[in-house]
Amino acid sequence: MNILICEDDLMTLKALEHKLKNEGYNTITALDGKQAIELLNTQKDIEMLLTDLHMPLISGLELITHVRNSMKSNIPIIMLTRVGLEDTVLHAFELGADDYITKPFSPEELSLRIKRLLLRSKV
Amino acid sequence: MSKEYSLDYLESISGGDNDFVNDMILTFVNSVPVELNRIENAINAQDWYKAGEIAHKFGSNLMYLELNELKEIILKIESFGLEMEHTQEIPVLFKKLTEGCELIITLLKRDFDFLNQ
Repeated sequence: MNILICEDDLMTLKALEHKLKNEGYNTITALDGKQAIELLNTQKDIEMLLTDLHMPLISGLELITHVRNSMKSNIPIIMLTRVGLEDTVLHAFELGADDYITKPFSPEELSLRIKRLLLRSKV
Repeated sequence: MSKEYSLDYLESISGGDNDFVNDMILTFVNSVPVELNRIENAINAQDWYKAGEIAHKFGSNLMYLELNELKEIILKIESFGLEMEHTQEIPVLFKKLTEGCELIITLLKRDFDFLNQ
């Protein structure tokens, strides 16, 4: 199970990568939306995307739009955001994101949301 | 262990891996001066919005070590900067933030020998 993590904050990226590896997932990392698009185009076995919303070059919102509209992909997408950005989160849902977690993330919540989303995507 | 910072959160996601916790501490110590410098440059240029944007990103790093007082300061810098309100307070808040971060780094270096090698 390959999960792409797109996050430009190094501490958050390392924390997510460590937690997901401990849960048995394979992780692939990108530091901005541009890198994430390149990886999604070349690595077809990516089964989930975790993306920050505020990133350089191509933002999380632009990345979600690209995945849904240009790539026509139904890959599950979880947004990484901070508390207090409800408007941005709502916009991301409109663009096609499936779920979100707030930073710093709750390890249990992250695990449950990923499992639930994977189950739903396989139905 | 100092009560000025807490490793409880990092330990909760570490799965008992001390190398991970140490790597996160090292990343914090290395990244804080860089981020503070970026905010300072934005303040010197009176680019308050940019200062708010950088503060937004930087805030998460403070939360990993449960630096709650510093988190409140960074949230104010973020909010004042992004909303372009009370911008005259940003330099004062930044000074407090810098002093607080310097103290935390000093304490981390006191508590973890590997940071001094």
